[in-house]
Amino acid sequence: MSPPAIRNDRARALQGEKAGIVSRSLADLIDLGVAEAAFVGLLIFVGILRFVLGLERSIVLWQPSASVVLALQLVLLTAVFTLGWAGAGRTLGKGILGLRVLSASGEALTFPRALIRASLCALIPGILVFVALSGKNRGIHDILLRTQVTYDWGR
Amino acid sequence: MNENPSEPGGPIETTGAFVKWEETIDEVPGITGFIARASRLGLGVAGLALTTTVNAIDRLGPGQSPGGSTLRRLPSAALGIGLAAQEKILGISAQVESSAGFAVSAARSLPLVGNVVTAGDRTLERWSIRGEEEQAGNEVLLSAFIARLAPEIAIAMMERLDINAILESLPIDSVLERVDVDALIGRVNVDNILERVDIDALMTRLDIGPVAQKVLDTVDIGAIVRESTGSVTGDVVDIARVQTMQLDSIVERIIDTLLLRNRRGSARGRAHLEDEVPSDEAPDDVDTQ
Repeated sequence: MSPPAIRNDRARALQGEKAGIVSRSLADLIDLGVAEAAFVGLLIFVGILRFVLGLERSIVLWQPSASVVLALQLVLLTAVFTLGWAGAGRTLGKGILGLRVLSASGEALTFPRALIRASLCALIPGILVFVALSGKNRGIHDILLRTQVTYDWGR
Repeated sequence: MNENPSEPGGPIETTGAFVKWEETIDEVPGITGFIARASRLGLGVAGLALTTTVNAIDRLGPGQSPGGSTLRRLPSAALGIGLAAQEKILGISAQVESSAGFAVSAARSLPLVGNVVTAGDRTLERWSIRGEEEQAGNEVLLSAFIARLAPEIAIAMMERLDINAILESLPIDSVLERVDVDALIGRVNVDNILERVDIDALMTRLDIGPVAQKVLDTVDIGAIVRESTGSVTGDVVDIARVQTMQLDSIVERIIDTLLLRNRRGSARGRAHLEDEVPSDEAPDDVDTQ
């Protein structure tokens, strides 16, 4: 069953255009939530694993050091971004907001390019601010990696 | 027949030396009453036979018989003669019966003959009682026989009847054409009928389970739920996307204004222009599907 057509004229006109700061920020926030959920799941899993291995006398949430927490969160966020952008061009957040990450020529990102882009976004949270200031809705990472984020509802 | 003087309740008038017989036939006991009933029956049968015969003769040659009128009068004339004869006979019978009764009463008062008459009376009474008992028994037997015979006859008749042929011969269409169905329905008191219906008893007799199962088998509830849920979810997501797009545009316009930047010419610029043009469209008209 094909998805229904976009009936809103303004939304239809903007399909394929570069997305603005609000859409992209909200999408990234959703993805951040996904990464945090994965992080909590990881803590629970490791806690169970430690109990099974006899390192703990009961199942308790794993409480690593602050640096490990930060590193894990960065890794998970980068993984979420990379897995979403490589190929399909969408993470969960961008899928909900109707956005797609493409190369400047409109092609899907390769895995290395997606990984580098994801790393930049995870390491520099404020990098999106430049999207609003650029005038063309392109962030620094978009300029460096020749990528773009467009409105694409997939219809 | 009203003309028949022997009709119950009607007096029989006699003339001449005969005794005037005034009682109705049903009320007359004794030999005279018996003769009256028998003669009435005989006269009726004879009258009917004569009438039937004359009608048959008429049918054989209608209008050809020169003495047709004479022939048609024959049954009535015969009946009249019979009635006159019946009057005479009943008169004689009544006189004889009266005389015999007087003679028997006189004989009963005599010393020797009275005993004989009384003994004869008793003998007659015993035989009469026995006869009545036999008659009652016979009546019971006859009733039982008829009660057994009637259903057998009815069944035999039903078996011989070709119901389908009878139904086919009936002009059902013409009968139905004459029936005013609307008027018929209008006479039906539906409320009264419904008041008499015991819904609870009806429901207990209904086996709802298989019916519900059959309905569920024919209806793909899952597909309906998926479709409706998907449609609602899609609408919500589209609304969120459109509102986010509008927020994008608002933020861009604010920053463009602050930076004195002009985006006219691009699709986004056109979208911005549409934002600026007053529209009849409601601001929250997402119009998504």
